[in-house]
Amino acid sequence: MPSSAPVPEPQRLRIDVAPPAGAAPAVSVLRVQAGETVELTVVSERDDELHLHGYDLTLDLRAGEPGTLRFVAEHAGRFEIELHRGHAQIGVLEVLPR
Amino acid sequence: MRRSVSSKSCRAESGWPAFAAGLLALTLASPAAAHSFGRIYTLPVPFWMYAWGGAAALLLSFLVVGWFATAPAGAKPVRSLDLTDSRLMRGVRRLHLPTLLRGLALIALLLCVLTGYFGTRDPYRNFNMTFFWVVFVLGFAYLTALIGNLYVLLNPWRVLADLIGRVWRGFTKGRLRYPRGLAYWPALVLYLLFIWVELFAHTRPLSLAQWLIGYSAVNLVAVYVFGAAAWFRYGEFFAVFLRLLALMAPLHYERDAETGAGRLRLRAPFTGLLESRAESWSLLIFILFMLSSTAFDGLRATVPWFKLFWFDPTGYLTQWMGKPPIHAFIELRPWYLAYETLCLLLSPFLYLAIYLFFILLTRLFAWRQVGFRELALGFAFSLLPIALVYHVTHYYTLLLTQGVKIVSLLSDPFGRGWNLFATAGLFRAPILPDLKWVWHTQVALIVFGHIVSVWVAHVEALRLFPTRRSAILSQIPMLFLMVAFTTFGLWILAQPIQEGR
Repeated sequence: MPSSAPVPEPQRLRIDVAPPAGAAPAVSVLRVQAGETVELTVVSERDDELHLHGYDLTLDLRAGEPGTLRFVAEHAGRFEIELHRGHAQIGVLEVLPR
Repeated sequence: MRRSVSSKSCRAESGWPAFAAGLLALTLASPAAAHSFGRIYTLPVPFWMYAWGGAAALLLSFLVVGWFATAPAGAKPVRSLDLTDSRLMRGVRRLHLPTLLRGLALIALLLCVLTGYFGTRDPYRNFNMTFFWVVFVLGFAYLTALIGNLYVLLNPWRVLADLIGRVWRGFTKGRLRYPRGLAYWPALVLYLLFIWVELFAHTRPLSLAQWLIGYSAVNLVAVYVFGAAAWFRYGEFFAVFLRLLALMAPLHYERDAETGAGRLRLRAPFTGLLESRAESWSLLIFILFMLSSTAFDGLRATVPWFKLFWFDPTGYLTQWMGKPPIHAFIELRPWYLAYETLCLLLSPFLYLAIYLFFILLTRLFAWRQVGFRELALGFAFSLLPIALVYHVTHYYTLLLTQGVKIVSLLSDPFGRGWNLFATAGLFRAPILPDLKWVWHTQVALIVFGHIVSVWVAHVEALRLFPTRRSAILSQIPMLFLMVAFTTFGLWILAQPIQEGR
């Protein structure tokens, strides 16, 4: 019988990327422990492709609509979150080893 | 299971540091780049491991000193085994392997240029970025330290010059005698330029191809003027860089400059460092730049370095400008590039000053029995193991995260969805070794390189100084120099990384 073990809350990070002409947002940092579930939500002002380095996860973003990547952070390390168009870094995921 | 509070809290950084970093990410470093290409995924080495590494380096150094103080025999000649006429080498020659490799090297260079012009603009999907920056600059360099100076055989610029020499008789002979005073200075200048391009030029497939064409032109003109033999010994900096790394390899390949006949020898690893000595100041500075450029690249990604400029700890900059530098981010950006460039160009000379200070102490400790120049050049090669492990520890994970992608890129070099060799689907995912394993190998490698350097310097001292007593005494300052270099290397590895870099 599968027990109803409590599902741990995912670590969430939301990044709103402003258009380049506006005020520059900070590079967001999310620090998690290896093995935790991560939910990364990004809102871009224009169509773009979200890319998480290392994990090599990509997600097509529609302008103004939040896109969410949900995954288990298995690999420890420091991984850059970027928008593919223009290769702009918008955040960093730091996964600490267990 | 231990869970720290910070790991539970998910936070987006705020305040000036984060704002500055954000600006950096969006403006200065918009092609988000650490190193030239590819992302280094490792986290800083934990402090306790850094402390242990430093302590181990110090302790093991004294063990080496103790061993040399009581070792029975003096310096022995380096033994080696000639493999030139072994069955293996005869087979290699029968297969015309050298010619084949030369052809492949030239094709690789041409392909890097062609993919730059006609391939995809995405650096991760274009063959040339991964091949040049990761496979050649990192992978081939480490291979050279393992299996010897293969480059002398397959230098693509030499192959190109030789090909031109076939139709244009006498092209590779040169018009002028290579001036003695020029020594390795051209190689050093090209090396400085190369590192600048690596760190600051943010190359893309097209600009990489343009830089490669420029470098090819420089080489061909120099060969025309000074001749292939002199230029590929003193001027072409990859040749100098890789020849120095190859001194540590157990295999030694030599080519007779006159006849072109090759000879292959097997020797104990690192003993090649004792077979010859640096013959000019320019080569010593070249070696110091191998150390300082890696240290600089590591340092400039760290938080302390970033703060040193933008948070103005002395307050002078704020006083002079009327506001903190971080508030004038946009105006100061070009100045920051100039400042970092200047630091890079000065770094080998800073290292030279430190090195010469310790050489001076070495000379004093050994009652001035040996000349200053002889000592300074005599110990130059003993720094190479430290330089090598610095380099390997900083960059080797790139071979696993980005280098392996060359397998799929070979099938689709232009990034157009081809599958020439049916490898397009292989090794697409980066290999991410466990971080603890990475930290341990980093620290172990640094300590290992340190010990080899101390050992080489001791053997060198026993040859340079007339008595064992003065040789041992001379090594006390050298030991501190090497511990300083090693601890600094470890310290950089342990620093937090600045966001946006």
